[in-house]
Amino acid sequence: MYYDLSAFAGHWPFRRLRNGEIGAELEHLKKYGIGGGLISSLDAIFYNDPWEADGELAELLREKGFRAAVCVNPDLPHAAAELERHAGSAGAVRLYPGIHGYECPGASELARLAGELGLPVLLTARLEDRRLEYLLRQREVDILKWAELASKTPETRFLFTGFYRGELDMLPDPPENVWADTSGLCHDLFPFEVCAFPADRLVFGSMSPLQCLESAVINVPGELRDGIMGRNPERFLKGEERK
Amino acid sequence: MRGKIIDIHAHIWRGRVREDSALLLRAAERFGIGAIFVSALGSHVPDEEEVRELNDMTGALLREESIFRGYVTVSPEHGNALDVLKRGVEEQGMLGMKLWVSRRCDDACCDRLYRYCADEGVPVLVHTYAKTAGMLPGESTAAELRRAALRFPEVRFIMAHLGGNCYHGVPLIRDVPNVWADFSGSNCREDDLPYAVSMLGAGRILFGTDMPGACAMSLGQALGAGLSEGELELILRRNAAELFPKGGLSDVL
Repeated sequence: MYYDLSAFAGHWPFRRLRNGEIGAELEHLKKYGIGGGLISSLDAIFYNDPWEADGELAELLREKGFRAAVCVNPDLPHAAAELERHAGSAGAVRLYPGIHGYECPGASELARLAGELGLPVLLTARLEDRRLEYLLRQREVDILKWAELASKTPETRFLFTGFYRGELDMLPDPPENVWADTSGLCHDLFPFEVCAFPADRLVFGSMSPLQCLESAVINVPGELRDGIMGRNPERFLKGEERK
Repeated sequence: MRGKIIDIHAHIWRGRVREDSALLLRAAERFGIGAIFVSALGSHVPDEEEVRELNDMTGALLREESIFRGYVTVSPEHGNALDVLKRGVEEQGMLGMKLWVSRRCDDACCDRLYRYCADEGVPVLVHTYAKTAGMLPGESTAAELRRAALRFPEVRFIMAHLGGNCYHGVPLIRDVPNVWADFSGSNCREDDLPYAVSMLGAGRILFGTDMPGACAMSLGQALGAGLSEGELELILRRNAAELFPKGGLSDVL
């Protein structure tokens, strides 16, 4: 079975998503043999109380093979308490510093708490190509600063998602608890031949339905799919150490 | 999918011709591409000598590998621009004009080039990209292409990259039938192509990659757009063959 560790469901305020509804997205993923992984609510990013959307998503995903990567905004006064309260329903924590507008020190306590709760942290680089932003302006997310935070939070597994190859190339020797997904690698021709990030810690992430699922799948060469779409995400989800 | 794909938008970079052409050939093999239209890229504001070098690079590639077709790169503000275009089409075997990006496509200095393209039936590829941030000096947008296309209705234009943000670019060419659109480039949004097809119909959409930048992205967008076999056939092959009747594309079809 294949996994997608960076899929979404819900509404994106700036354009219509054909596969935004969770049932449609699950069917879409299934077409490519993807039967497990992490799905995040797009609505939760914009809600005052993200759990209003994440709770619904977690319920919809029950017994579907996927878990919800729940949105946490460290700037919210109840963020830590809410995370503790809902940890049992979540498969991961997802951070959006580029949208919520905080720097990495602001997230260090929550990252540590997520680790204590056994939840990996998905760090989102961006959700929209910055050239194509409409109304919303995302802030830059500095991969090196976040890698430093991860190195100081060794009990928490991090998945860096949506970073471009040029950014991942800055981490040829990332901290042991840092993994990366493939959702930012669609912009390159044969990226897996040149990406400096360790191949055994690369996992499949599509960012579908914001980004094109088919492109993400096709981009992974057939001979690498079992590793990047199968074994590696399994290891990440189980919390296994690097092999 | 039947037949091979025609990629109407790819590049070779100055100083990297060997590496880039090798990458393009490998990609063609892996992704089932039967013809690749290339133009050569260099400085943002090249001088006449550099433009000559760029077109010589493309010309040499066309002689070496039968999979390649060529656009002649023309920097419209150059005094010799029309001669460059004529040489590319009449002597070097180029099939289209790639209007260089440092001068907007509705600038009056392009007019003499468009008149030649109209007379000779040469399609014009225009990089269009309306960006929230980081616009290049002289970079064209769909609004400027619309103006040029309305002034020269007999010229067949290709609006590259769906104009950048397709939701802002594509509607501007909906009522301009002499503009086609390609979805090449590094924009991986899942719903851009279905949106463009809903606006323009499949008959005015062309497959392009922007290699050596990206390739799987465009192919995935085409295959994942929920299009009919007929629509895919138009987008992946037939529209390009009709737009470039002198392209010798019958083998690909």
